[in-house]
Order: sequence, then C-alpha cells, then structure tokens
Amino acid sequence: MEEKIYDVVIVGGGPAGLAAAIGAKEAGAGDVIIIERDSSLGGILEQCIHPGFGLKYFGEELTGPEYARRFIQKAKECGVEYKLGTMVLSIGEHSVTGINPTDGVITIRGRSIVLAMGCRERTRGALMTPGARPAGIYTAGAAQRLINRQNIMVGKRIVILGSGDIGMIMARRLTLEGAEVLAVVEIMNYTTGLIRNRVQCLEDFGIPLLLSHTVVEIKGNNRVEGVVVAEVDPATRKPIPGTEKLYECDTLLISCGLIPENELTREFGIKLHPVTGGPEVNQFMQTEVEYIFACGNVVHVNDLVDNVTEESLTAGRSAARYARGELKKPEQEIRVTPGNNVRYVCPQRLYPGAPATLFFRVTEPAKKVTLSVLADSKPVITKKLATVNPGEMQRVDLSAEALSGVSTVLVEVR
Amino acid sequence: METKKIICIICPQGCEVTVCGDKSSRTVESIKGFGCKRGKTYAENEFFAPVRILTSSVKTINKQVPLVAVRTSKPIPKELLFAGMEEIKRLVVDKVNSGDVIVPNFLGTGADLIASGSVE
Repeated sequence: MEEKIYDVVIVGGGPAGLAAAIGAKEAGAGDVIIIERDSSLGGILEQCIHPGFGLKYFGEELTGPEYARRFIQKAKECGVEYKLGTMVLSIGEHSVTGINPTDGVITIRGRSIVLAMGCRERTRGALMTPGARPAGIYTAGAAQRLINRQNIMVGKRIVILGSGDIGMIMARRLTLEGAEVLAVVEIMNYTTGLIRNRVQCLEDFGIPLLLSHTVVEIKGNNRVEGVVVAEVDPATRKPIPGTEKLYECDTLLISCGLIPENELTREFGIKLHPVTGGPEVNQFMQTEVEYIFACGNVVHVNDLVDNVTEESLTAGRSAARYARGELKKPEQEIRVTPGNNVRYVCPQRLYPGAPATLFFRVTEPAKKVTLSVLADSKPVITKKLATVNPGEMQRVDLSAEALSGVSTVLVEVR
Repeated sequence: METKKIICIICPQGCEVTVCGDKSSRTVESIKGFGCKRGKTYAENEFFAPVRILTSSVKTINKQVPLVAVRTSKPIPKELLFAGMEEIKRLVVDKVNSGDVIVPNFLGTGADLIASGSVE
C-alpha cells in the first residue's frame, strides 16, 4: 500500500489552523488534515466566553465559542480531516510526526505544512518576580480556563499583574463571579491591551488601574497572603524605594504578554525573529522553507482573532498553491524593515510584484502622526494616523506596482 | 444637569467625549470631543442608558463538560449585570446547542439568555 500524502498538513486546530484548513480547501487543495493536541477543535476560543469577536470579519459581535463554531462547521463541511488528542513531536522533510494513545507514534506526510501552534503565556518564572512560592499564582489564561470551562473558582481577593487583554477580561469575569479585584498593576505608563477592554472591563466595575507600578514581592507560605506593589520610574521601569504598599490578597493573576510557541519550528531549523519570536514569513505566509507556511499567533501575537483568520486564510490558500507546484521561492525577495517608532513589521520579506498587507506595531504610544512606507527610499504610502498604541496592531496595504522592481521596504511613524 | 466623561470604544482612537445633559428628560445640553457620528451616538447612549452584553457560563449535568457558555442575545442595561449573574448561578442545563434559548425575556429586558456553546 502506498503511503498517503496530504496536500496540506496543519499543526494546531485553533482559529489559525481552522482558517488555514478552510483556505486550503477553498483554493482547491485535495486532502487536508489538522493535528490538534486538545480534545476538541477551537483552541483558546473555547474558553473566551466574552463578546468582542468577529466585529471586523463578520461585522457582528460574537463570543469565542460562537466564532470558533462557525469555522469548525465550515471545516467539517469542506471535508477537512482532523486528529484530536495528538501531540506533534517534530517537523520533518514534508512530514509531521506526532503521538497519541490510539495510533502511537505516527508520521503524516504532506506536500505543504502549515504551522498554527499559537502562543502561550509568560509566567511568573519568566518575569522573575521575587518572593515566596505559595499556591494561588495563575497566569490569566489558566484562571480563565478553570473558571469558564472547569467550574473552579481561583480566589476571593485578587491582584492582577499586567494590563494585557486577558488580564483585564479576567478582572471583569472575577468581579462578576463574586471576587474582589483589588487592582490591575501595569509596569508601563499605558495599558498594554485594547482601549475597549480598559473601559468595559476595568472602568465599568471601578477596578483600580495602577500604571507605572509593579509587584515587587509575593507573600505567603502555603497560599498567597499578599503582594507588595511599588511605583516604578517610567524611564527605567525600576521600583522606586519607599513607594511599596502591601495588598492583602489570596490570588495573583499574571497577564504579562504572550510568547509564540515555536519549539517545533526552531528544532526543524527555521530561524525565529528576535522581536516577534516567530518565524519570518512573506505575504503568502511562507517561511524560509518554501513548503512550510505559518499563521496566527505562532508568527506574531495578534490582538484580534479577526486578523488571525485573515492571515491564516492566506496561509492555507498559499499552502494549496504550493502543493500544486506554484509559489516556489523567488530568486530575490524584498526585505521589510521597521523604521522610526515601529517595533516590528510582519511579513518581514516580500515576494516582488505581488500585493501585500503589512501588519505592524509601534514602540511608543503617540498622537497625530504620519505613517510612511518607503520602497527603495521613495515614499509609496503616506498616511495620517490620529492615535497609535503598542497594544493596537496597525495595517497598511501595498499594491503590486508599489512592490515591483524594488529591493527594500521601510515602515516608519513620525 | 449632569456632566460625564465617556471614552469612546467604537474604534481604537478612544476619543474622550464630554456629555452634559439631563437624564430624566433625555436632553443633551452639550456634547464635545467625539471624532465621528458613530462616536456621538455611542456617547449619548452611554450617557442615558449604558448597555452591555452579559456573558457567563451555567452548570450542566454532564460530568465531562461541567459548564456551558451563555450570553444575552442583545445588550442589557449595565446596572442589571449583577442581577443577571445571580439568576445565571441558579441554572442547571442538560443538553444544549449553541443558540438555544435558556431563559426567554431574561430579567424582563426583552433579551433572551442563550447558549453560546454546546453540550451533547
């Protein structure tokens, strides 16, 4: 018997993997399979029971499970295969090796591979917060899963470190579920999540937001008994001695950023970008290895699932095209670099002569600025922006003409 | 007469809109700071009667899936959010599909409490 070769093998069945599978099928791919380690498809959306999903993509306000369901149904309708409870161990040459209790170790071959593993939360260990090591310290997403899917309440008096979106959303959830959220503590002098979450999750419930503050000590032996919060110098972000204040609480939630989950990518030998933590891609979401594509939070952390869907549909379509012999690596790619007040731009490389959407984040918040895109030092786009925030991703569309016969593109905000 | 500062959430710009008006007679004396028409409407609605979609989860009798996500079918008055949570706490469901009505006319708001997840 000949071994089956899939057109597209997708690692991860969250929003990115689902949209990639649908994109691949819509672009005419034959056999498409998703490999997912959890017991159901949908990824993190299943625990995101709050509204706010789909405003851009569907033009209506959905909850996470509702948003996921639309894509799960669509994927099933178009004949996408999937393997649940299967942990991928490694990526190989046109293959993915995984393990599950039924099949044991299995290798699935594919003409194209799509990486859609998502991201994970930065932990207390990664932050190196000093103090005792009691029970009662959770990442915001772990607490979200316990409360929203498993019916386990995490505490009664809570302090949240970090003003990321999940942290603010959990501040609201915990308050509604009867806990008291004493404060959301943010080291930066601005909230790192979306404005709508600051308003609807914190201000709606009168939850104090302490900007330019951080947790300098965790107290408690068996269970968290309190955290010491201090003001930081906005320039150095170092705690200012004498500003320490004890908050008596039983739980600390950490919402201090997300890290793309790229062990598989790195072990296969694909270089990771130092700022995004994900593989570099071109506008077809193609990595440096021409048959491997990547999309969603594994490439760069997004604030809206709608953007993940959009770029993942592209990844899936591109993977289907590669499987039928298109999209070979071009001889010369255009290099995209971040300029003034731009932290990173994704994609980092561009296929010449094809339109592209660039996503980028600024380094510092600013008002009334000008966005410029320069191709070989000549401006191709100049646009005024009223407000820019590191927490809100920006986008700019470039035409095929703008990208013809050039070798570099620079994005800057002044 | 009352003055309220409202941060608009219609788009990421977050305009700070100042509304001055009288709630009982639903009249706006002055409104400034909005950046667009949608923002003006949002701020007026926020001033007179702020509404939110309430989401939560209700217990199920299924041991594998202890909770199922629920939401109000449309936004309900903000001041009813905690009353809504009390009501939700008391509910237990068996099998439900996403979109099924769990409590019609939830708290008399005209919105239904519907399942946003499924238990099979």
